[in-house]
Formats: sequence, C-alpha cells, structure tokens
Amino acid sequence: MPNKQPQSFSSMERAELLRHVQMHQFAMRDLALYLDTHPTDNYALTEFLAHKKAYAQCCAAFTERFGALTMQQICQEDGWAAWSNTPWPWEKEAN
Amino acid sequence: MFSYEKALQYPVKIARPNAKLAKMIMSQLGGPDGELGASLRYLSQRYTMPMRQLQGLLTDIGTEELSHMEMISAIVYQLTKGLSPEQLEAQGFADYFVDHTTGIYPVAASGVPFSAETFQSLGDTIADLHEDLAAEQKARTTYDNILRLADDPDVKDVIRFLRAREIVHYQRFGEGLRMVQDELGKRLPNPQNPYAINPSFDGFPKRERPRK
Repeated sequence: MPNKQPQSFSSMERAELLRHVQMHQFAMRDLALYLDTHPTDNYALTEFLAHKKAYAQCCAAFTERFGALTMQQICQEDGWAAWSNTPWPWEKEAN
Repeated sequence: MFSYEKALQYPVKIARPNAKLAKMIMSQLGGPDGELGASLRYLSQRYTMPMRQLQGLLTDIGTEELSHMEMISAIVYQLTKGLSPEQLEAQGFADYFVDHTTGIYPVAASGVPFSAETFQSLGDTIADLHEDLAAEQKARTTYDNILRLADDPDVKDVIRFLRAREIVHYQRFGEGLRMVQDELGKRLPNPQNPYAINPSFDGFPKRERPRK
C-alpha cells in the first residue's frame, strides 16, 4: 500500500500529480464498495484509511499549484478563478 | 447532497476525433443500458431498501455511475471536437449534428433519446437487486460490443476501465442480495417461502426465528 511517500509532489507535472489524486480517489471508491458488503473487514478499512491519508496529501499538493478540485479548497489568496477558470475535466488538456 | 470534484474518475485523453465512434459510445450515456440510467436506477431504488448497508451500497454505486456518465460524455465531447461539418457528415454524424450540433445529449446509438422506461424502481427488495445485477451484465455486454467495433487505443483503454467496473458492481450487488437473503433466512417464520414478505415495504420481522 501507499506508504512510500510523496516522491516530491512539488516537482511533478500537473498530469502526473493528478494521476496520484485519481489513483487514491479510485482506491477509496473501490474499497468503499467492498466495505459496504464486508463492513467488519478491518484490513480493508485500514487500506481505505491509508488511501484517504495519501489522497489528502496529494490533493493538497495539487490544489496549491493547480487550483481547487473541490469547493472546500477555494481560498482568498487564489481567488475564484482558481476554481472556475482552470481546465474542466472533460477537456483533453485537463487530463 | 452531492458535491463535485473537478477531476474524472479515470483520465480521458483522445488524440484523434472520430464522430462515427462517438455515436457508438454515446449509447453508454443515453442508451438502454447506459450510465445515466444506471445512476438513476440505483439512486432511485435506494430509499426503500430495507437495510442501511444496502442503502449505502446503492448510494455509493449510484454515485460512481455519475462519474462514469461524465467520462462517457468527455469521450463523446473529445471525439467530436474540432471536426468540420463536412467531416462530421462524412463520419455519419449529420443527423445528430442537425438536432444537437456537437452538444452532449443523452441518446442511444440507435437514435432513441434517453428514457426512464429503460429502468425500474419497483420497491421490492429482491426484484430491484436482481434488476441491478442484470443491469451490470447488460452494460458489460454493451462495452464488449463497443470494444469489438472500436479501433482507437485511447478510447479502448477507457472503455476497458468502465467494463471492469461493471463486473465489480455485479459482484457487490450479488453480495448485497446475499445479505438480504441471510436476513430473511433468520427472520421469516417459514424460511421455505422467501417471498412471504417484501422487506422494502413490510420491513423485516423484528425478532429472529428461534432456532431449534
């Protein structure tokens, strides 16, 4: 599991950092479905929480450099445009 | 409530536009076994499910289907972007172009617009979960059919991801069905008749049947 930590998120390109965000987001989603039908599986819960933590880290690193991924990350310094005028996910350039 | 995350669940980055392929892929947006219908099916069925765990399962899968709907829309958007009217016509897209230009509209490959008649929320636990199992298999087949016809590696990579998710969802729904059946087996006065009640409407009998 993802205990190897941030091979320095600060040096990654946007697309590469986004892959990390998507990878941990996906792992959480997939484990969530498994936990819905195996709620007492503590190993799966541990995995889920490890991805949750890793997700928070790369998500914060992404937001800081490339703009908010969720409304909760919008802040005064970056302004509204960091949410509304960064690439939307369906654009080829956003991926 | 739902809140938006500004990233696709799996990246969509298509190098070559191809309107002919877009028309086929579109079926998984607005077609009879597409992602929009899947999402509406699960997010509608969840309210009357008799166990909180099942309500959670339908919520989580229904939510993932929304992100698949977004991925399919992104594929269609990228496949039709930057083509001239002549190119669109040559690639068999003229009829869609007349009705929707290159706007994203939920319609089946056969041209029929999305309809809620493609799914059911029956309010019966066993029937609804069986519909969900069948829906995942039908979507898996549709993706298999698309993979037989598609020749673009960028598109096929995304379709393979979505196809795999159908199989995972099928697995989870099967486990959900088993959870209900186990509960019925413990609580029904006569376990020989699992259809004596509809737990979505009647609830489960409060007490477990005494073991002999």
